[in-house]
Amino acid sequence: MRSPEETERLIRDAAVNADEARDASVLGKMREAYAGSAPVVSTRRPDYWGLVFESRLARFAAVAVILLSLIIIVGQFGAFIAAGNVAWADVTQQFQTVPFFYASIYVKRDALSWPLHCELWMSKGGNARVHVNSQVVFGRDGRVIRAFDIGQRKEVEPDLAAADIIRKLATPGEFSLETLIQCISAGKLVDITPAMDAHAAIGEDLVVFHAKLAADPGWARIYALRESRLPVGLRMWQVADGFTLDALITYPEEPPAIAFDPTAFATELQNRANSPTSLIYLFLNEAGANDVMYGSPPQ
Amino acid sequence: MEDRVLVWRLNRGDATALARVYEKYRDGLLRLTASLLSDRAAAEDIVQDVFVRFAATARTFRLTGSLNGYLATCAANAARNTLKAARRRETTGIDEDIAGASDAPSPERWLISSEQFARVSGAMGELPPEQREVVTLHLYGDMPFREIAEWQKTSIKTVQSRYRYGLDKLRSLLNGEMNT
Repeated sequence: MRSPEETERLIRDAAVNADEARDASVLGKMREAYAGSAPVVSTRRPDYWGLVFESRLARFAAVAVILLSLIIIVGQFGAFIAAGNVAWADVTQQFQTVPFFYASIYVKRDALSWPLHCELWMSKGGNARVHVNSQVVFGRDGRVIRAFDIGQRKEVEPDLAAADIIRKLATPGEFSLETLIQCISAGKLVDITPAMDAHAAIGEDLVVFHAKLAADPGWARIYALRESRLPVGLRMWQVADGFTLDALITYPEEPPAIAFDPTAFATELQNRANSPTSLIYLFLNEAGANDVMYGSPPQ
Repeated sequence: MEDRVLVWRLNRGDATALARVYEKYRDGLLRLTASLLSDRAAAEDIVQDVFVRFAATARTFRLTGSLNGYLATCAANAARNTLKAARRRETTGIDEDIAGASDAPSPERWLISSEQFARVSGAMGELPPEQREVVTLHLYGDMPFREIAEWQKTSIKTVQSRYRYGLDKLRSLLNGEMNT
């Protein structure tokens, strides 16, 4: 007797195909119906960043990424803020010295919803890798190189949010603070320069920096370790509906270069012996533990 | 995110996005309606109608939830209406096939079932309509129980219960078939 889970899988996996001639006929009717509807008024060029912000989920994920960016760049603007004996500039400068970091970002639409998840791996050489939904997206120097859908096991157009993450994070030298503020959804962050929050600090070894949201009494907090001066967490909270974002930043051992090689990934994608999990974390050193690596990189 | 981009493109007159919407949701909608109706021709007509209606309103369409959920709900509503109409015809003594109720002719076969889908679809036909709706919308329409409960105008506990009973029955039916 198969289990309920196996029965669910059996039903989900029951595939259908469609006749191509009928496909063409239906698509033709759709195009006719579309052409016969009211003409388009707006001819503005696509505003992809604005589009990202149309989705509140993507907007807050992007805000998380931008705040991570702020950790990298704020030091360049001389924002020295005392936090006990740790200055914000210390944190940003220390972050700039790490060769590699990993960020795990969880977003909840509201207090009752399940969190959605995004993962980011980034090395100092300009390489980035993002896992969003079923996609693994590779980037270099702010450009998306290739994107793959793990479920379909094929190369696809990159997820728009993943592409923006790669673009924004990989070009810190080109950032302007003013531009970033404008990007953060029309001034939703009033105070983008984090200030120390002594009330939120729960231990002597943790320093908390605080930034306010404009449209809501909500806030963003960045947690850094006092001794190492490294940021380890980010938390955002919107009061109105309990929208939350939590990001955990860790600093594992830098993976081999092949972890950022989309060609090697494409080859492994075709190997059916590789499970979806092993593909998502392929060649990365720390997929939950230091001594675990999915795939064997060539020596 | 991709759905928002597609709707955004359609809002601005980019007809090429229609093909992507169609490609992305065709199989899911065909499976959903074929499972709800156990009638291939009627299911095909409904899916075609859902796509064409969506295209006709795509320039002004506003996406508030998921596009998949929207299209699945449209298809499920149409399937429910088709079944109601068929039941009315039965009670009034009019002997007409469900497929005959659709306006659009279906000259060629659109849906090509795999052997596995044919078995699953046949087993779905054995379920009471409410259970079949819940199982189909959840597994083929990716709709959460909360949304199905709103659609069926009942409580989420009832929906979860219908799903559990429906799945148990399917498990029994499919095991029986597989073992023969």
